[in-house]
Amino acid sequence: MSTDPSPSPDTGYFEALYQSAPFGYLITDHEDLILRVNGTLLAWGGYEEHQLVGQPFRNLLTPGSQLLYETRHRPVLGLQGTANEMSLQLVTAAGPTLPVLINAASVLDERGNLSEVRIGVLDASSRVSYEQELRAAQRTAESLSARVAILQGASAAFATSDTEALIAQILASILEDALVAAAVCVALVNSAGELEVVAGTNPLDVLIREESNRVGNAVLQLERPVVVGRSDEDRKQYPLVTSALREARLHCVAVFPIMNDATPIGVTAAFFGRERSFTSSETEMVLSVARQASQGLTRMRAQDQLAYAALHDQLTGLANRAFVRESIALAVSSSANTFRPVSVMFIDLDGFKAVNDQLGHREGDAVLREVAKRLSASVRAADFVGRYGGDEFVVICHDTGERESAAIAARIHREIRLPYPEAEGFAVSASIGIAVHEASHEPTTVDGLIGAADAAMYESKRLGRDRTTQVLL
Amino acid sequence: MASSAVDVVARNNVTIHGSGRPIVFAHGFGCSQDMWRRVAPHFAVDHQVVLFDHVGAGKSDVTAYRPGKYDSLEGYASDVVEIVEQLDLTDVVLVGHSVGGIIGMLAANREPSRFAALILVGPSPRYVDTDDYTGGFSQVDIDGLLDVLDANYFGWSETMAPVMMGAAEQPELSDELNESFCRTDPTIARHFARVTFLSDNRPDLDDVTVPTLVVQSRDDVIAPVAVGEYVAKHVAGSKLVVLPVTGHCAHLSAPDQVVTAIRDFLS
Repeated sequence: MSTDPSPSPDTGYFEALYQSAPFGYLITDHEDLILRVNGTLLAWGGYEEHQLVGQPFRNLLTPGSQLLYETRHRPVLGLQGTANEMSLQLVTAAGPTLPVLINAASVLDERGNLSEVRIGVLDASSRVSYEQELRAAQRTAESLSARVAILQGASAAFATSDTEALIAQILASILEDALVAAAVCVALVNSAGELEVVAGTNPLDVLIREESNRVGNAVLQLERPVVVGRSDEDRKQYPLVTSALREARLHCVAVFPIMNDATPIGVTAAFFGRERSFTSSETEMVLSVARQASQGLTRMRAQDQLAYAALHDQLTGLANRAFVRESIALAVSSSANTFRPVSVMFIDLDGFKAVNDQLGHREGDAVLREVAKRLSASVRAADFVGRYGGDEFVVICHDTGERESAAIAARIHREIRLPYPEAEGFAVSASIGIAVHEASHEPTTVDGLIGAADAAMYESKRLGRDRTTQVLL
Repeated sequence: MASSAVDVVARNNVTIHGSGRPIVFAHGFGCSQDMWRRVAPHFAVDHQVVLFDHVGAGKSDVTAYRPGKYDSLEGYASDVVEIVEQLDLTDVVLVGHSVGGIIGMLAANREPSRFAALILVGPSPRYVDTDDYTGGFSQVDIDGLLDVLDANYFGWSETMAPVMMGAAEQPELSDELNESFCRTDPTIARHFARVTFLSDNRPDLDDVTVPTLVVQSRDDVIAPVAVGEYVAKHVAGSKLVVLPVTGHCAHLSAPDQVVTAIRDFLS
């Protein structure tokens, strides 16, 4: 405004320049205590000069800003001599915070020690609030797109996985990344109704499995996540889990249910090295990924069930005719490869028709189920038992010659002869034909073995039933 | 063994000066091993001075950063144990500032046989207040810190999204954003801030078996005297020294006093 180029302005002029500069200006001592502060900053903050002089500058900052100022800006200033464009939040006397940008420069005394710090303060409210909105919008968009990416990635990965273990493994690794967890494991309810870890890492000792499962079962029952950490209550309720966490240098485990529609089919446990809480959107994300996995898992179980049904007899649960023939084919080729004998036993019940005709099919079925049980109990663990049709059964004994197969047949005769509570007063026994194939003999076929065993069985019937006839092939 | 030793040294930018009893300096949140430049040289005359950067800070290898591993101070502590093991140091004096002290304490708790003294400068085992503990901050304050962190690292950048999405893969960007001192990777700093200020390591104080000195500033908003007293009370047999200095970084503002306190304790 002034056209007078005053060659030597008086101190009053500089004082005015200082006091009403278009930015805040203050000087602190080596310990951050305010020595001087200009009018602009006092006006912005609504402070009186005497309120600030002698106070540490950091006391003018919000707690969050104090943390950064003390841990980062002061060190940078101390090491570098300047610290520029620091974005901080000032507390005003009236309460609201004022976003500012700060440049600071240190002044050293003749011995090189810090004597004072000069700090320029710019009002950055419009810019900072704009940036803040931008960042908030960006964060929301990012977390949404990250979540969409996680869900899409999960759904693609689950769709192309063809085993239960692989799906569970993918679920574990997706959640490990998404939750920034130290470890994640997946446990599913097995056919015995118990939780069984199928994928991922469980850093807790296996010896405490019982109590771990107690946490898992609580989650299955509640159908919502449970976090076990270091609280007294957790220590009381799950003493082994909490001490195992400590042993593994972990602070908490968050256990989420894996729901298939309304049915919990398992849990996934995420382990953390510090206390963690989860926002509802994080929890929702975990539950959705788990839900996707459950679809894959139940699809896999359905496929397994279909495959099982195609190969098993519904009444007895034994292998069905197709499976028996497939297994004999495998046994023949393995016998050829290992040069070991194989025995195929054909079993036809004696006296069963009478049970069926006189007591009815219900009792007949019960006898068949009991026979299946007794057959399975009479053979060795490696032997294979199937129902060939009606009251005909087949047993395949790998690596078994004449003598051993005869011994197994003798056990079967004994077991089958025992009375049946479902058919009191009826005598049931087994006529058995065994085809023993020695590897050194001519190669044989499935039909060759079954046919020979069947013919030998008829020979047993002809000779008076309840006996075994062997043929060598 | 030899190749993995090289890895740890490069990963944590380990630098070694002098010879004698090993003294390892662990920096805190917000800076790098630069923090020790006014204290460490005093020890190089009669000690083997070992300095390093936590992964994400200084000249550490940011590609070694794994979010799951560094989601707790234990991840940082395992790095310290690895450094001490790779250099095969015993009778180690560990000097840690702020969260660096807590990390050093966790390392000493894991391998007490290698450590002979712990010096914790401005330690705080928990920042967030609870019903029966005063750390000095609330969850809202920590959220505020994350906001100002963002404003500092990303405020002037027009390419915020790529930086936030993958600064680790674009070192030229993070270089540009950082000062020459106290370099930190913005993405990792954000995570380190959460891990530092939201951890609760009070139970670990009980496990310390190594002789411990707590160096406390008389006036420190980050780690107030009451917190230093709490640490000294819960670390069995520890000693507390309150220096007549203000601020959280006594080793920068009053290095001589910090050096004297450490030497007095060690002698």
